[in-house]
Amino acid sequence: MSCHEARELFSAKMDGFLTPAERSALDRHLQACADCSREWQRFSRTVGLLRAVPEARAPAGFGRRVLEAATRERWPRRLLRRVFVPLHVKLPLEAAALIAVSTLVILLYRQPPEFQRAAGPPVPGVTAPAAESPGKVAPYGARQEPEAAMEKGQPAGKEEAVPAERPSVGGRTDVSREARKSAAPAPESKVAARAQGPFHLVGLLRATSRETLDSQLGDLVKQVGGILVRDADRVGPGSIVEVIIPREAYPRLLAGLRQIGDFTVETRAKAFPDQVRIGIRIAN
Amino acid sequence: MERELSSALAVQPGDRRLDERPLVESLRRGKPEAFERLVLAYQHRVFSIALRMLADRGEAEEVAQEVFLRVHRSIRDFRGEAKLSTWLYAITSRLCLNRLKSPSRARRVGEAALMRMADAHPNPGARLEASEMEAALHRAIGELDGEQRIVVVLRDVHGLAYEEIAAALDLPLGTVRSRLHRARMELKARLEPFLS
Repeated sequence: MSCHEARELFSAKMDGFLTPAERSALDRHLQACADCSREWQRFSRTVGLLRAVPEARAPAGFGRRVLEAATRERWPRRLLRRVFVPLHVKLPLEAAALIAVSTLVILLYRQPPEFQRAAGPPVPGVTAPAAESPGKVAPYGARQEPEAAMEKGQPAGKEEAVPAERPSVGGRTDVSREARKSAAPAPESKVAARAQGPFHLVGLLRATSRETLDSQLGDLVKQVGGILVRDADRVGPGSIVEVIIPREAYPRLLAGLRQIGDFTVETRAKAFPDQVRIGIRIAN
Repeated sequence: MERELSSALAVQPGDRRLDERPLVESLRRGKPEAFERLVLAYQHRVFSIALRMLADRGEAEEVAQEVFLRVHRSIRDFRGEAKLSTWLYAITSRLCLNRLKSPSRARRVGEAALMRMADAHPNPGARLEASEMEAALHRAIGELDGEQRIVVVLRDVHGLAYEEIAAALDLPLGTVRSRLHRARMELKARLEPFLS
């Protein structure tokens, strides 16, 4: 072992990292080499001095100053962190916000009819007039004009406007009766009116014979292959009758109604679907 | 929880037997008392490393305070892959080395600062009794370059293991060993007049 090699092992010897072979080789060299032995003595003393240096103590009040500094910088960071960073705060906030927005959207969609109509698909038929606007026929999706192509030759004079004071026609008979009973708007009737389905046609029937009206109407609907829904056990003055017929049966139904009495179309959709819902108001 | 904290708080400053896990958990939960305990446990060690590196009590205090504030700010990001103490030493070492590299500091610190290092003894009475050898030792430490000085300060003055030094300085173990050996040999050479 050379002197250089021996001195390169001083730190390892100092820290006890030498293998037994290295240690014995180094010890042999140190015994034989006075210079390296002296160097080792100086080296080990140097390290001994370093290890004897005491750990300095922080100045008095240092800990308190650190804590105060941490507290000073804590609150704005803490505020930001609590609002934006920790999941245990952020997730509930986001969930609450999501629920709030969803609830708002649902409320907006459900409550005002305008929102419903704006959000929903176009209604092909006549929307039944709401009870809060008695005497007026809801114009949406309907036209208050003489019958169009399907009823050619119909005298224009018969397509008279519905009197304003006349009660409106509802899509569901029980709802319509409720609507007629109360001219003033009521919350229940508003809800009920919104629940009504649209009629594709609404007309007023002034029957020639009130006694045979019920049976005549029943027979007619049966002949054209339709369904008759009465609002009472027997059709009579003031009744609302809902008739559902195939579209192609409409001319025959119209002809039959005009044999029963004077039938005036009040509102009708521009086009009929396959199954046409017709509301027939029986005049007093 | 309180028990965990109590066990963590029971350690004395600088106690290497400190079980860091409950302390780290409490720190992550933002417990103010946990941070206080951390400061109490490590303030002297951190300050001492900074003082031996910078040879200026004012600067050492600034650095030590910054170390704890950085820990306070980023304890939630501490992944626990290293020991908390190693993380503290890493921050301390980095801040000290950055200060040493600052050109403005190099101009400012001269012989006077090196002399103050010798005066850094905490006990004013003992300072008067400090030997010439001790003063020379501190001066010699201050004359080492920063990379060597931090290794000597961590290993020989503060007794850290090679592995912990390597982790704190993000250096290979071999580099730590060779750097330490060169530093010791240089110190021996500087102290030659006092060793013969």
